[in-house]
Amino acid sequence: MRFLVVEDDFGSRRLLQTMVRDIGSCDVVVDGVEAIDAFRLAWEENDPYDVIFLDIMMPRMDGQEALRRLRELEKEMGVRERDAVKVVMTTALEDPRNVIEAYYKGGATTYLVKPINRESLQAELTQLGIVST
Amino acid sequence: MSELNDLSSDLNAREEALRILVVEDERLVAVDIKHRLQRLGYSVIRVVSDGAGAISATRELSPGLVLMDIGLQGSMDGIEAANQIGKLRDVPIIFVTANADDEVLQRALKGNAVGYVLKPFRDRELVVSIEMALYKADAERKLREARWWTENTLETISEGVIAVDQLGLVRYMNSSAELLTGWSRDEIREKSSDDILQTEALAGETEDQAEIRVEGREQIHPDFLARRVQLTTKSGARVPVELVERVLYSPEGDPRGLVYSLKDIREYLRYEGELHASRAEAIEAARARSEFVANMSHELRTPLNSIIGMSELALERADSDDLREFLGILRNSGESLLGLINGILDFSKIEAGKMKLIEQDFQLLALFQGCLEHIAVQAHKKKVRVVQFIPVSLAGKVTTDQQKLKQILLNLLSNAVKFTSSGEVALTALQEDPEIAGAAPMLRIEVRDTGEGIPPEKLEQVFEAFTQIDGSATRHYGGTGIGLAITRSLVDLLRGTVSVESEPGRGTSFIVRLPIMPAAYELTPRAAFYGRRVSVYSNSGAEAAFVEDWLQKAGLDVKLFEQLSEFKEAELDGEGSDLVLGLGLRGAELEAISRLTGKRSSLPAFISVPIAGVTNLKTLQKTDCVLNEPLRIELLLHRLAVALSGEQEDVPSEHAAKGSTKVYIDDAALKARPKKQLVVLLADDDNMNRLVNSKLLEQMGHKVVKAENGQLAVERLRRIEADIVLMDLEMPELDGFAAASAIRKGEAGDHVMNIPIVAVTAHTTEKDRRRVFAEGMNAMLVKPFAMEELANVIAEVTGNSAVLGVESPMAVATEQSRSAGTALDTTDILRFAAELSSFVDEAAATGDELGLDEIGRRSMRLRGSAKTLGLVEVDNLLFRAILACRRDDNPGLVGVWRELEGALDEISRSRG
Repeated sequence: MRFLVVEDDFGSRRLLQTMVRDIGSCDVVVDGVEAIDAFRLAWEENDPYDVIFLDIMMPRMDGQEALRRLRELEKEMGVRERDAVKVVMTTALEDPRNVIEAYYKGGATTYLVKPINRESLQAELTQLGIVST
Repeated sequence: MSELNDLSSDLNAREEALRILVVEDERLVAVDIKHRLQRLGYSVIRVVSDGAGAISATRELSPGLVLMDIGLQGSMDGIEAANQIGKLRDVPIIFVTANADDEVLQRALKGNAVGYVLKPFRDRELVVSIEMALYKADAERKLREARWWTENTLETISEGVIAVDQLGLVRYMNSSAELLTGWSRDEIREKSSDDILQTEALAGETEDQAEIRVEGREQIHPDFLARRVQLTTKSGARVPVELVERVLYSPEGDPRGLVYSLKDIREYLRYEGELHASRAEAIEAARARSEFVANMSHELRTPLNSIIGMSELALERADSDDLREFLGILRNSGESLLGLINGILDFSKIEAGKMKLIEQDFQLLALFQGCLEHIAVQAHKKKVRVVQFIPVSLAGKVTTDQQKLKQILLNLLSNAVKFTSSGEVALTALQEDPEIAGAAPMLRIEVRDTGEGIPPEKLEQVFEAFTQIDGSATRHYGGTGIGLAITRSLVDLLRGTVSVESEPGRGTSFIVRLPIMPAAYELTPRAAFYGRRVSVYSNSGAEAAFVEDWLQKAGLDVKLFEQLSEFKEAELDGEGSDLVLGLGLRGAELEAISRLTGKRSSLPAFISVPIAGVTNLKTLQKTDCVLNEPLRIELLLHRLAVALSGEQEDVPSEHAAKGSTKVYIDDAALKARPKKQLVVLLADDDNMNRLVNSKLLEQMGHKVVKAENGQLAVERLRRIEADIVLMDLEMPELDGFAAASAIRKGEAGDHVMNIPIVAVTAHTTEKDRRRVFAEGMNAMLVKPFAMEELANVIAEVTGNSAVLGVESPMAVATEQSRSAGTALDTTDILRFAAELSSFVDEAAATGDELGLDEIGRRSMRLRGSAKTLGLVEVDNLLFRAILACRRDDNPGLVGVWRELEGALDEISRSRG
């Protein structure tokens, strides 16, 4: 199981990284630009990410933009719907408009509200079929 | 004569007789007139013989009429006297004269009289003259009075009025118009209205815009068009006015002129301007406030994220009671603070009216299900059941704001669970018909619990912010006290109502009524159900009704048992039951079921159990299907169909991950495995990996034999009694695949031909996986792996307890991290840090020479070691360096190097 954490806040990304450590390997990047790079690299290695945790508010390129590009790339590569990477938006939810847009229109798979605790992370991953009960 | 008397008395029908003053110098004529007047019923108050006498008599006596002889003696004749009298009083005067002289008549006509009679005159002529004179005088008086009112009204109003004839000449102008336009009445006599009404559009508007802007007055009458214009006064000043122009029609309907009314709107415009400004200010202030709230929200949550998360992680590694207590308090405080912040921010958003309704279509059943699952874990920990009742007729598509409804329900449900220590929490939905005929039915959602209840005197305050029923409740139960206030605001937003009923000691019920009506759920009756009967027992009335409704609508015949005793005694086979369904059973109830199913082995039995573990494994094993709570009705129907038709169906994917399981495995089962010390052959070419993994295995209680490559692995296996092989796949000389293949062929000896081999690799492609198993290896571990993964794999392939001497892998991890200060780890880490440091220097200095490709490659290798040594941050930074290399991003790379140097400094400082 490969995870990618895209998050500009140090504490938040270390936290997520530690929480998924038991489930699989985890790479960490700090903005949308690096996220796209990592995503491409993983595909080149023939070992794409299963789940990407994508923060909405980031410098350089925000989560929405990154998500849009990721999905575009997948379409270009001809990735099938069921093989598409599962994107979990992470948000502090003070801007519901952004979340709704990303979630309903942008192709995010689901979202988690920060601060993330283990239980809700487990619940989401279970629902995504990443972890079995 | 008598006729005349009648006539005059009719005409003279006054309350008192008309008082007449007679002015006549000829004495005989005077007497004659007096007598005749008196005979006619008039009253003669005096007779005077000259002008002066007439004047003074008028002044003194105020007659109702004066009969004035024109030819009087003295300097003043009748006409002159009449004029003088006219200045004193408003009394009708009739001239009497024998003279038919033209000149006199002319003067008389111009004089102040309302009529005249010629001498000699008859009585009839006199009467007629008098009455006509009075009538005329009266009419004139009335006219003058009416004119006085009209003119003074026009003069007094603040609006200017100008009447203009067909030629455009000004016929009338009131004083306000004079003031406004600067022109006086006298001046305008020769002027056309164009000179006076010089108007143009107001600044910033076209003529058309100006017309439309005045509040709908043009709708009153098509002629009644009001415009806002700029008027230029006589002095050249410009005044904004509202101008109304109307056509003046004669009684025959011909247009005769125009009337303009003008209103000075300077004040009004200023007021309007102020209004716009303050409105814009208010909007801006509100916008700034909500932006502030949004920013604050993010700022406040971000560090809290770390506080809560890190204290949780620290808690997992805490190895003393003190530490655990302190960290626990830290985490709980963090969570309380978070709850408060969320509550306050939500609340302020609602109060500011910033919450918007987002209407969506969704299935009500799915929402209910999601909410129940959310609280189920917490409820089951307290041994409180979670049930629902939603009839098929209300479980389908509904349109409203899903997020907000979910928030409302979760709020109420988690409160219910919080304040209940035994029994159940039920979520029900019903249709409520209106009390008023013709109104729409409402959806009634109730959250009912069997908890401690709320005392009646506190019921009113329950929805107020920041008052929990009992101050100590906050400490006992946690929470912020705003939850219900927010809930109510949200319900208001959804145009519904929420109320509460409670009985202390028995339970509480929160009722939400919403003006929405879900459609029916599309439930297809299943063929497998036809003619079949299911016996159902549940210890929850709501749940029993729920299951009955759905099963029946799906085509099953349902027999509901409400008492356990009935259920125990029922001859189910005899009743024609095809299946038994027991819901929410525990303890004695569970025993009852197992005895029942034990007796009748042909009867399939379904059980539903709470998520948080079950102690009675053996009982469960006798059942045919175990369903987790909260009950998923579609899954139940599906499982029933499978059981009753005897066919195997694929479980629909949404049910696959959760919802049903055959038997629960708990720790006890795991602990039952044998605890033998294993001999592990560890084959890995990387020094670091070998050292770390062998230490790991030793800590788990096992013995390790190392091999640096595949060839050596095979050789060493020949000479020892190993139990399991950990085979790194990427090795020189002989790689893992080849080595495994050799072992399976017997090249390491017969005794180890079937030894469990666990492949260890960084690659997880399908191809690699297949190859691993093709070569006969038993399992695969992906690098880098966690201690628990290693333990699980070993346990699985050897059937042996992986971890000896300790309770769980977690304890070993704790043990391991505590001894992180051992010489071995620190030295290696420092060595690695030094190696990395010089690499960074080299890369930064000679980047161009080395080439970004090479830097990327080396970084990749270094990553592996960093991971093994557990230097997570270094690993992360190296990953980002790799990405920067791929991107040809030199400045980005330099940034990463700087961060890396910082991290390495930190390492040498903390461990050096």
